[in-house]
Amino acid sequence: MSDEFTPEERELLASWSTPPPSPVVVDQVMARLPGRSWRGAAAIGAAAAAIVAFQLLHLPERGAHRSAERATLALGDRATVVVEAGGELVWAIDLWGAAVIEQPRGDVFYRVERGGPLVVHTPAGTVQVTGTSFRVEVENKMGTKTAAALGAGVGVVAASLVWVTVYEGSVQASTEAGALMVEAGGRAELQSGQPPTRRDKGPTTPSREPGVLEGRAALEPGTTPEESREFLVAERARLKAEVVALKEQLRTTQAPKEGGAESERATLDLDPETLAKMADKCELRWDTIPVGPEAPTLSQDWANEAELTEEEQEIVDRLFKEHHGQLVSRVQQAYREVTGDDTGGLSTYAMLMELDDKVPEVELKQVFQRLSAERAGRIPAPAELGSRPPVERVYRALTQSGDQLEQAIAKELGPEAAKRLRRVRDGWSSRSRSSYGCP
Amino acid sequence: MASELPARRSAEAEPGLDELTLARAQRGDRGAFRRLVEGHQGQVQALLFRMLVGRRGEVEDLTQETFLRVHQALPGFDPAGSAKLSTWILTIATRLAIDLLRRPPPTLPEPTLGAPDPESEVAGRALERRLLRAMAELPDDARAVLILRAYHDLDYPEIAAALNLELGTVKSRLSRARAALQQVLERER
Repeated sequence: MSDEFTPEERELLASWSTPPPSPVVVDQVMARLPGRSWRGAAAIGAAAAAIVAFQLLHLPERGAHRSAERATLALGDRATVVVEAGGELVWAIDLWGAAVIEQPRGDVFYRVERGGPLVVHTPAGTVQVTGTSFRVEVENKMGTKTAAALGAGVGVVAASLVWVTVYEGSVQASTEAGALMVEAGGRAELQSGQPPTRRDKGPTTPSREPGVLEGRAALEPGTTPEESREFLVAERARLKAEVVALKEQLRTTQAPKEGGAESERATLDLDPETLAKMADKCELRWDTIPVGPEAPTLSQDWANEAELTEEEQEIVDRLFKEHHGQLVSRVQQAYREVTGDDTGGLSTYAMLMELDDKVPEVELKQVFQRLSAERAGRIPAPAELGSRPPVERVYRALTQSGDQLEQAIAKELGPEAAKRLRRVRDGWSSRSRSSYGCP
Repeated sequence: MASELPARRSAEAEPGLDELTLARAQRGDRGAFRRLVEGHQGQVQALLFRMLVGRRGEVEDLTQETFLRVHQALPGFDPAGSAKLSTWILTIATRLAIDLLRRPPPTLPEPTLGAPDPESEVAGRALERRLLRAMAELPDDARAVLILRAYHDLDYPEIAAALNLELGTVKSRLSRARAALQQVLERER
């Protein structure tokens, strides 16, 4: 309450209590939302896939896995996953450890250490955790179709069943129709358009191809709660041991490749050989500043690490603001050209999403093919940029943003200070790598 | 019944969504919109509960109506604009409440369905009862100014924008509401 009220007035006002929020309002509101036609549902599904794809594209660390064999993967520093044969994952992790994962199909076990949020998007709903171990099984009932937005392996499934089994901690399983907390030992079923339902016992294992369960125990239909608990306790112990062994295996198998892995992920100062390899895959990596509603400012820690004075920090903040404004303006201009609409109230991120959504996938791939070839020195940059397609101009601006910002800072603080500032944190705070692939 | 103490804005967690979830809700993602409703329902319901003195039976319906309007208008909300999401939602709720209060109340007494009537629950609390009576006697816009300022910590320009009032009018309405508070306190002394 504002300080303009006297203590007596505050006490009086505090006596005006209100009842707790009604538990049914959320469901009632959701039930009263305008209905969706099949075309509307398809559009929203595609938009949701595009948004996930956008997250996957624009978060700093990304990866994808699709294999006919069982595989164990490390996602960032705190998640280990075991992807069963036929499973598919696309993931992205931001600088603070928050992870976005798309699991369009298959059976995947997750072990997640505590940290930022981790969200698994499935065709039927999402699973959100902060630290736990659980399994997500996706059964596609009516086939799949590939999302048009991005060639990152993101799939929109006509109808799917998803089972979430929690071994430790808890997760929130949600669909568009509702959400459910699933505790350790619990199991939930997700189906698009339906609220999540508990499936803690009974015939819990979805039908599988013969042999997929080889080497792993499974609950049988009709298992009693006591047997279920014993099974889960044993399964938890087995999985813990498996995780420890797999982590060790990862350490030993990845150790000799660390140098290679580093060059695979580097964003700055890429050598000609790396640029050529990236051009072969139509791949781009870039760093820039976040294009959120407000221009970012330099943190004190970052300024200290870069040995900047207070005055220099103010100059950098001013240049951040100018650069942020230029990037936002370019995105807005492209948005208007592509959609024919005013930018309205859309954030820059939302406009980027819609641009990705509106432009055909092949055109996006061509953009990345051209830009990566230019960076590798295979083709010259066009003399007249104004006539290039809007989406190319946007990605050209984003991918050149890091260098341009460094140059602007170098003009005011000198090249050494600008270089130090950018490299002390391995690039500006928003680092991206394209994953469209070649046309 | 929840015991709620008005708190300063700095002590309140903004129940907003992260930027991408808000963007998803703006693009029609029902799951994201659900999270928006979950995050703001408490504030909206508390606001309407206090605004609709004597018409409590309509709080839940108007809460729903508020979020349906929010859903309708959400694509046009500018996250980079001057209004926070919570302020924008409270503005919608306040305007709906004032529109409702301008209409005559139902001619039939509100049915009692066995649920406790919040006002009867406080019957034994004389101070709160007097406050409720004082608030009920205030003009709707003066009550709205007080509620938005005291319980939701909107600043004067935000209140002026929410209620379509001049800044000076906001201040005079707040003075009037505070005078009503002082009258209640005087009777206590």
